[in-house]
Amino acid sequence: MDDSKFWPKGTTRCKPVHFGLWMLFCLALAGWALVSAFLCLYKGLNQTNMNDYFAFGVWIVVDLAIIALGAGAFFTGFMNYVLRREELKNIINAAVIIGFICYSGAIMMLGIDIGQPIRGWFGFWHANVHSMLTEVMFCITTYLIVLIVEFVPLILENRQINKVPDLHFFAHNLHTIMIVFAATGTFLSFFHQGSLGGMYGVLYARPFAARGGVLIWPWTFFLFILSAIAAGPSFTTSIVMITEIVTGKKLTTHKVKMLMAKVSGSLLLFYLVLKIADTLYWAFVQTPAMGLSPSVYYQAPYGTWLLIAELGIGGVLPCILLLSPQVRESYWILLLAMLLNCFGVTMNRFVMTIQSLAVPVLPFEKFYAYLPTWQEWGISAGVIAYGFIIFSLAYRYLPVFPQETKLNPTTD
Amino acid sequence: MLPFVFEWQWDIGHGVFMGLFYLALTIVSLGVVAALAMTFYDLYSGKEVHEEGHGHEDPWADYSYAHDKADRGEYA
Repeated sequence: MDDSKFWPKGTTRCKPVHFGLWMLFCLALAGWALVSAFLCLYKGLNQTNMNDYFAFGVWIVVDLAIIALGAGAFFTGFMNYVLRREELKNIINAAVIIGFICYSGAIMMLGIDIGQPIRGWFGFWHANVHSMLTEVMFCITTYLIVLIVEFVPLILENRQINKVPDLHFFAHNLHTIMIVFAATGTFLSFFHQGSLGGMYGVLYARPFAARGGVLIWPWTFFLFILSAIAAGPSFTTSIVMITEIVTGKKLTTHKVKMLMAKVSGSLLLFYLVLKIADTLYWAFVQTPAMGLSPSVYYQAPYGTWLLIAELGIGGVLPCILLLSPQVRESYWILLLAMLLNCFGVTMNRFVMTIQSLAVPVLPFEKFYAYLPTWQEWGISAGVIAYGFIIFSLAYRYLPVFPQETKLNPTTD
Repeated sequence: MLPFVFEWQWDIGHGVFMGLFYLALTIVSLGVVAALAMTFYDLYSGKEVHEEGHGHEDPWADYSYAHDKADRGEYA
């Protein structure tokens, strides 16, 4: 089957059989997720290792991580459309697709996590306005709508679809007013990233997570925003670079990647200064004031190695690398630095979720550990498979990378 | 969520939460409606379809870095 007439103009793609095999692999992962989802919905959340201690598990870790990593969409959109950094036009389509995958994947995963997805609308109709999570739910769903609106014109620019005048003009006009959607998305994403962190900061019965703050916002509110906008551009660029490696093509100029890296590194530095100050105050002032010692927080298997992994390997190291002009010019070290940045934010979401709950808060409790079941891993793998499928289809059939034709001239 | 639901309270919390939520939804909806209106205008005013979409625009085609030059064979 020849699908070349659907490829973006002036580009080449792998053979349909190779693409089909890749899709089969992704569908196998998705099949694992479907079996897991069926078991969790049919038999209940007893299919997971979540319990009275671990009300949050791997699904929330993955949710928070992909929402933070998906922040590349709103922040790149903000820089491109609002701050008028025109050069980012060459990567904004990829950022939107990755953001769409992250947010829609997170919402699908939450549909399983809440156990009764058909009652998911309750939060909208009977909103608890005193909950950080209400704001998160409002903003995530509304921002997904914004991402869909941003993704639609790209789909309509498929070589064949774009021949239909109605759809061509609609895509063009959506592009014309994209600044409205980008600004709205920035507002929505900014607040829900913060409220996800704020949720942990107000857990006053959990000394690992609870923090002071300003007005109604604990410090974690601001730290989550900063870590997300620092990691998001890195994740977007990493995915583009991995796509380049897999396809053997140049998709954006290195200058665009270097700009994303510089933005990411600068924001990471700002975040790390505040995060380290917050950690020092929490360890040496707040924790002793509660009659505890920081050693209570770090017990096997969640030892101090987690702190080193999060702030050292996933924080300070990528920050130094991303802020170094020589490193930014090196393709492979740049990719490594960006992946380390993504690793750091993922570790942060892991410790805030799992380690917070592992620390005993009552005299008769012990330090517990949590390991997900295969069903929980299955749902998580399903989100990754979903991402692979959407991004692969988008790359194959949509003009995602404006510079691709110039960087990869074809003879025919 | 809405004033006719029995739990509704006219307080600042509901006003801020619901106000911003509906404001965001209204802006997005108006944006889509505006794009549709412009589309109908373009269709009925006889505007021509240009083959190149926005995905083909390249306002920053400055290949001044080593990787890009290598890709184009300049360092071969």
